[in-house]
Amino acid sequence: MDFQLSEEQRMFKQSVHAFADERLAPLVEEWDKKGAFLDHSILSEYVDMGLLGITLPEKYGGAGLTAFDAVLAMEELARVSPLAAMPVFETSVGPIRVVELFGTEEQKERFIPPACTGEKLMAVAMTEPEAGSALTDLTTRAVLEGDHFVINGQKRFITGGGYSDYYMVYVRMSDAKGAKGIGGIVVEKGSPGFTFGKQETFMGLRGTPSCDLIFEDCIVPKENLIVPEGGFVFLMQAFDVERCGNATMSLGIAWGALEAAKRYAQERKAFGKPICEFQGVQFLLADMAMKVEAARLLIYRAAVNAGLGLPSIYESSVAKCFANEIGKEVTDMALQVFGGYGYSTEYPVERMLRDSRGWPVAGGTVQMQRVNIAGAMLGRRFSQR
Amino acid sequence: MNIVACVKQVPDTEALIKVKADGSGIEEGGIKWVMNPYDEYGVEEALKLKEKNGGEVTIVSMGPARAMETIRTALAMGAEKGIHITIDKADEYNTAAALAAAIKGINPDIIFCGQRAIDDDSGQVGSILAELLGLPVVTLVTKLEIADGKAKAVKPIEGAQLLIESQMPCVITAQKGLNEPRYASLPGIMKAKKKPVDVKDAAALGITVQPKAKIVKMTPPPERAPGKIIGGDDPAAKAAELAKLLREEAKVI
Ligand SMILES: Cc1cc2nc3c(=O)[nH]c(=O)nc-3n(C[C@H](O)[C@H](O)[C@H](O)COP(=O)(O)OP(=O)(O)OC[C@H]3O[C@@H](n4cnc5c(N)ncnc54)[C@H](O)[C@@H]3O)c2cc1C
Repeated sequence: MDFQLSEEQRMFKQSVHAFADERLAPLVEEWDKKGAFLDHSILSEYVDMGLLGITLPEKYGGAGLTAFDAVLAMEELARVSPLAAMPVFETSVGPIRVVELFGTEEQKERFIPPACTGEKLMAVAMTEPEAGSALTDLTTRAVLEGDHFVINGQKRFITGGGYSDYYMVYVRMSDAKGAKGIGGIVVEKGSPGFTFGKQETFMGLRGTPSCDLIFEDCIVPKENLIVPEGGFVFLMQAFDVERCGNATMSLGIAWGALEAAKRYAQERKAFGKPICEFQGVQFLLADMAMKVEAARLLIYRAAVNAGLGLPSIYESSVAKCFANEIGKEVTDMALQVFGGYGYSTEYPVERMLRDSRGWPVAGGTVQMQRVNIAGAMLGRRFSQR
Repeated sequence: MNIVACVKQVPDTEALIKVKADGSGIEEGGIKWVMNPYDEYGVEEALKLKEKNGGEVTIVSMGPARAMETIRTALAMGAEKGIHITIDKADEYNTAAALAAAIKGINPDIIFCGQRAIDDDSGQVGSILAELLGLPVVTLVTKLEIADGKAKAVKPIEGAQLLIESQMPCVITAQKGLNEPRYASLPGIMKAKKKPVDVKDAAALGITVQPKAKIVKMTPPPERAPGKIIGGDDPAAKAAELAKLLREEAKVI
C-alpha cells in the first residue's frame, strides 16, 4: 500500500489549487449571493486546464485518466465552492460516463466531445415528485412510435435543469415493474414537448441551476436511447464512481472550512492571545482534521479501486455516507471557531455550512447509503418494500 | 527562436517562514515549494514568443533535487526541455556563473529571468548573467515586443515609463504586469514527464563555486509593536491627539 501521489498528480493538484484560489475564489461570493450561474467564459478556462472529461477516453477529447484523478481535482475545487467542482463532476463522474459505458460508437462521438469542450453538458434526471429514494417507483414513461420515443412525465430537483443542453432521463419503457422496466434516454433541450419548471430556491448551493423537467408528448429520436430497458441494473459501476464524486463535494467543503478555521484561529485574539492557544479551540481543530482525513482516505480508496475496475458498492457507500456526515459536522465546527463572524454572511463559513447540507440528500440519502452498507456487509439484499 | 527561461524554486508566498535557531537560514521542513512568481512571468513570455515565432524554450534552474519539480512545472506549462544544475545554493555571482555555463552552449536569442527571487530578494542574478555572457540586459520589463531582430521593452519608472530598444540576444528580467502566467494544464503535465531534462553538476559545467559573498546571519523581523487606539468621544480632540502622536511619537509628519 502506497499513500504517495505520483509526481504528475502532485503537480496537477498544485496547478488546480492555484487556479481555484486565483480564478474561482473571487467569484464564489457572487455565485452565492446573486445566484448567478457559472459563466460559460470561465468554463473555457476549465477546458484550457484539461479539467473537463478527465475520465473520458482521449479518443473523444478526454484525458483518459482515472476516477481518482478527477477526485483530486474536484477536492481542490470544492474547497473554494462545490459549484467550482461541478463542471468536473458533470464531465468525469456524471451521466456522460453512462454514455461511455453503454453508448454505441455514434452516440459516443455525438455526446462526449461536446462535454469535453464544455459546449454541451449533460444533466441526470432520475428523481420524480413521487419517486426519490424509491427510485424504481419512477413513472415517467417512454413509448417507441416508429423512429422516435414519446415521453410523458415529470422529473424533480434536476441539477443543471434549464441550463444543460442534454438530459439523461431515466424512464419506464414497459409495464415491467421495478428496475427491469427502466431505461435511459438523452433528451435534448428544445425537444418538442420538453419544458422546465421554475428554478428551485435551495438553502445552499445557490447559483446551481435546479428545476423540474416536464415532458408532455415529448418527441425524442430513437437514436437517443442509451441505456436499454432493464440495463439500469448494470449501472452500478457508474453509480459507484458518482458516489465518490458526491462524497468529494462534502470532503472539499469540509477541507475548505478547516483551512479557514485554521487561519482564523491563529489571527483572532481573545483574552490577549490568539484563540488557537486555547485547548478548547485546539480540540475543535484537531477533531475537524481527523474527520477530514478519514473521509479523504475512504474516498481515495473507493475511487482508486473503482478506477482499477474493482468497484464496490460497500466502499463507495461508506465513503459517501461518512463524507456527507462529516461535511455537516466540520462546517458547523468551523462556524463555532469563527464565533459571531461565523454566523455572519460577511464571512464564508455560513455558506460552507449551507452548501454542505445538500450532499447528504443528493445522489442517494445517507439513510439509503446505510441500507447499502448493511446489505453488503451482511451479504443480503434488504427489500425496503 | 531559441529561448531560455531561468527559474528558481522558492518557498510558497503563503508559507509560514521560521528562521533556524542558529540563524543559518530558514527551517525547510513542511514548506511548500513553488516557482518564483517573477520567473513565472518570464516563462509565460518565453512561451508566448515561441508560440508566435516558432522555436523552443529551454528551462534552466539551479537548486537541490526538489528543484526538478519546478522545472517539470515549466515543462508542463509548455517548455520543450530543461537543464537542472545540481548545486544546492550559491551566492548571486556563482549562481549567475553556473547559469551562464549551462546556457552558453545553447546560443539563445533571448533569455528571461525574474526581476528578483522572492526568497533572497537580491535582484542581481539576471544582470550578472548578462554581464558574464556579454549581453545587454533590460530589467523590470512589463511589456515586450520583438521586431526586426530587436527587443522593444517597456519599463516603468517613477512617474513615467521607458521604451527601451535592445539588440538581441539579450537578457530580460520580468516584472509583474508583463503577462498573466498560464496554469500547467492536465495534458501539459502528462506530456512533461516525457520531456528531456539534462542534469549537470558543477564539474560537468566546468565551474567551481567560490563564494564572493555569504549570508552571515539571518534574523526574524522584529515583532510589530502593538497599535494604539485613541479613546474619547470628541472627534476634534481625537484628531488633535492623533496629529500630536504622529508628529511626536511616530515622527512621520
Ligand atoms: C442538491 C440536490 C441535488 C440533486 N440533484 C439531482 C439530480 O441532478 N438528478 C436527480 O435525479 N435528482 C437529484 N436530486 C434529488 C435527490 O436524488 C433526492 O432528493 C433524493 O434521492 C431523496 O429523494 P426524496 O427527496 O424524494 O426523499 P424521500 O425519498 O422522500 O426521503 C425522505 C426521507 O426518508 C428517508 N427514507 C426514504 N426511504 C427510506 C428507507 N428505505 N430507509 C430509511 N430511510 C428512508 C430518506 O433518507 C429521507 O431522509 C438532488 C437533490 C438535492 C438536494
